[in-house]
Amino acid sequence: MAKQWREIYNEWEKAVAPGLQQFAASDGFRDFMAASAKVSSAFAAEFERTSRRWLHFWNLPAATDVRKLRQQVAAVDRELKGLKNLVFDVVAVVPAEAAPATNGKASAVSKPAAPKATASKTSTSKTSASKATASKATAKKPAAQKPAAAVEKS
Amino acid sequence: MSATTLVKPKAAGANGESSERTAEVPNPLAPFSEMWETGMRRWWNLTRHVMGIDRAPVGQTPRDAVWSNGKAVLYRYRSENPTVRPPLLLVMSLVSRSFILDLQPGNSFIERLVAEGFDVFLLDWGVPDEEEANNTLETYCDELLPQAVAKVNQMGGDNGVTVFGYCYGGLLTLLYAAGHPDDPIRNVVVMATPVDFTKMPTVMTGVGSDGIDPAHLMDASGNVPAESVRASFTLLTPTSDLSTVMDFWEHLDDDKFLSSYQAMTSWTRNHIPFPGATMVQTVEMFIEGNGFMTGDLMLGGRKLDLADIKAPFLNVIAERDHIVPPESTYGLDKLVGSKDATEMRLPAGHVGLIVGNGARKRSIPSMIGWMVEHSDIAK
Repeated sequence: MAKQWREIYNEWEKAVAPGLQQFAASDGFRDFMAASAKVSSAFAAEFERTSRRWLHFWNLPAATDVRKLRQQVAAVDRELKGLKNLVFDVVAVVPAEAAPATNGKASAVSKPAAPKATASKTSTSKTSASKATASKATAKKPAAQKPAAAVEKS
Repeated sequence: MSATTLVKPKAAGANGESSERTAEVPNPLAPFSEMWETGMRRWWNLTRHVMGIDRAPVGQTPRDAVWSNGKAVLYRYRSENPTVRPPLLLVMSLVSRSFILDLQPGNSFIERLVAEGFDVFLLDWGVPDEEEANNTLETYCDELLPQAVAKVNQMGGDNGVTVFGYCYGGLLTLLYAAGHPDDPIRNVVVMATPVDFTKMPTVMTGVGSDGIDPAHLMDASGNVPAESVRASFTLLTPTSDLSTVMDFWEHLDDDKFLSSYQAMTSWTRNHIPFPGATMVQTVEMFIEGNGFMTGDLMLGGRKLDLADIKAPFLNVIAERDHIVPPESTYGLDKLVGSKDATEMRLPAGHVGLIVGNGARKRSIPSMIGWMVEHSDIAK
């Protein structure tokens, strides 16, 4: 008895599924999806515009403002990362003796570890020195499988 | 409980001694008892499923985060004695969660790799939001992947790295390997990776100038929302969700089934947003341009050529894959420049390559066999 309903469903699915799949893959359905995506996107944009105006009227920030700020922070972050990589490239090119305060390791370590070595020169990074030491240790012990004490961030 | 019960009535023997004999007397209440037990189990399983009690845990293999950049995190799986060199870096897709590679104890690709002596790393891209909306293919293939590979190489003792990409992660792996031929790549493995986009299902390629405008798919964060990603997969097999519910109802009294069901559905119903800028690039470069097949691949202002991939290469194809049909991946071994390129066709689905009994018995051992063959084994 318990299987009977399942058999009925299986038969139904066998009959219906190919047609549904064909429909979902058809040009007509794609056009319908394109049109509905356009409409819903336009509706969402209009709603956002209206609610933002209303909130701004009362001098309140809207979600779009927060989103814009987050995007700006992300852009600054990306630029900072790019600059860090650039600084590293310069440090890597300069011979170890010529590069001041990098304790001669910067040119020896691989690329991703470099921003860390560069950061150790600055006073803003509190943990960079210990991280650099940890990195040195892991470089010497490649098969070490102990839990990482700290996550290295590039 | 059985339908009959053994009873031991006492009977007097012919010589007056009491002797015992056993006889099977049917218990008239047994069928009801059985129904009661099954019903209670179903009710309890339904309750704990709906209430979220005692959910099946996923991603249980012990690991440590060893590097991160933004939301991208590199994990290293703990291993007592990794014997296979070089280390293995798993590159996940951008649209799904990485725990599918480590689903459940006893049903985990990563657990098996660790048990076989691999030093396993996983690059998890995280869940993108506004900050990642402008991430492009260059962000992944020219920035994050090279950094992660360098880190893995450094931690693995400068033996090079086997880079293993799954699904869209395979596409990223191909772009990275083609664009960075001087990086310490020892082997390249791609699994269920789309190459010829003209052979992809229409539902997956219905975005672009002839179909849905990518801009209309994006939400306010600038990404394609996870629901849209999921909907596109659902449309490939429109009745699959209903069938899953039917399976659930049919096997509700089976605790083991419920555990697997919860683990699997927590993956299939839990996609992640697709970064908007990457989406636009994917549409232009692959869906409209079919870049891998035409050779028209531009990344970071330079032309890429798959022929620049010289490392030993394995293309794993799932013959029953409905998301990335096998026809869309055939012939990749001919496009790369490696002299040691293999195409491995396995009788599995997109996820069945790494999850389930078939994976445990066939797919995973086959892939491990190839990787071990192309690695060094430490004594």
